[in-house]
Amino acid sequence: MTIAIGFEGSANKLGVGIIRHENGKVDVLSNVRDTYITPPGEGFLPRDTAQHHRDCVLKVLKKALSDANLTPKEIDVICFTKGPGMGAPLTSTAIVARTLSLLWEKPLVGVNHCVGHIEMGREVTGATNPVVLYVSGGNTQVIAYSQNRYRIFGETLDIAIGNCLDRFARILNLSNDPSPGYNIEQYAKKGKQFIPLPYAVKGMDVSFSGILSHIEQIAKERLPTGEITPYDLCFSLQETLFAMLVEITERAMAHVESSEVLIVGGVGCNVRLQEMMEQMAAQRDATVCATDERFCIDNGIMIAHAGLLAYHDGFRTPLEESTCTQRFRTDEVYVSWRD
Amino acid sequence: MPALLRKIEIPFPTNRLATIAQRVLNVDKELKTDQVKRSLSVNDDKLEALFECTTARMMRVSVNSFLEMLTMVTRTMDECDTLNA
Repeated sequence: MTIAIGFEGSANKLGVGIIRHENGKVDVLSNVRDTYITPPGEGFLPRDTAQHHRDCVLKVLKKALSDANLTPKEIDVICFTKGPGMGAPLTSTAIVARTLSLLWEKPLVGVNHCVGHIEMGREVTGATNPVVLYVSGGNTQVIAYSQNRYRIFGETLDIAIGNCLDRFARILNLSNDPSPGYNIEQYAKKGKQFIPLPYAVKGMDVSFSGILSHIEQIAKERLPTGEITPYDLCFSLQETLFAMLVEITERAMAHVESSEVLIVGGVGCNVRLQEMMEQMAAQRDATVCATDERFCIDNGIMIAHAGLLAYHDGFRTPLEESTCTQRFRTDEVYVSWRD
Repeated sequence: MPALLRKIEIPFPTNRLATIAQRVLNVDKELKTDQVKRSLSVNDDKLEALFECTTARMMRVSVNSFLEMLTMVTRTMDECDTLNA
């Protein structure tokens, strides 16, 4: 039996989770998160986000330990997000992990954030070998597993889909509570007309910054006249962006001959995206696996879980190598725990 | 050629804690190595940080950043060091 604690802080969510692996059984013992929410119209900047993480990490850690009813002595491994993500927030979180590693005399394991999402998604949904659509504020990738690596089949050429949605939410001055994407989803439900937007699929890749500029322009010109509503824009943006994702996911499934799709990352919480993916999957006799907000949205438990999988195979991160990195490709990780 | 020098001494309760702080904070290298040089050492129960910077602004930025991370380490120690409990 091994117990790991995981620390996640690559964007605006600070998460600490404790997980137990015992004879092939996986148990989530605690999963605590604190989200840095900025006022409407504002995004989160690295400096303030890092400050938020430093301010709340110890409280979140204490709650994670008490929810799990454990003392530090019973933790076997300390896992943390090595990257990718925002520099200062990542480092602020890693510093706590490093300090605990020396105070409690426990080994350290650095984890790739994307691999954390994938492994937690596989564990929670039971998907065996799915094509993975990883969509969040910071990442947009279509991934398939092959020969010990999570290979990136397609990705965004510029910004992540979540970043596109978040920045549009700022234009509309939507609340960032609980997240801008959630509020766009609610607005979209009240949309009455579809406004055509650019559709930017490029082979296996997608591009969002052009669509963002375009919709910002439309909002500026046509909202004041009242001919369209913010609800119409949210609806149209979702339909367009999600259709693009469904297309590149389907293409990967066709190439890889997979009948499972796993959606992970914060944008994966979006029910409309799940619906559209399910429509495509049904046409191919495939299934869609998605997790709920406990695991979709950045969290510490996925870091603990992915870290523990690597730890079981002897993987360790020496203290001197426990730096963080803003760029960390998903396929850089050697997935030793799968065939 | 670094123009400004600043040495900061931080007292810790024990040599063990000063050493832990030094090891943790030494992992991250300074980003602008042509403008900032930071070296950490332990002297008994004191952590000594030496900053050599080309400008006053770089000195302020690197020292502030260091102190932010240092206080994260010390707060973690205050609340989580169970070995001495």
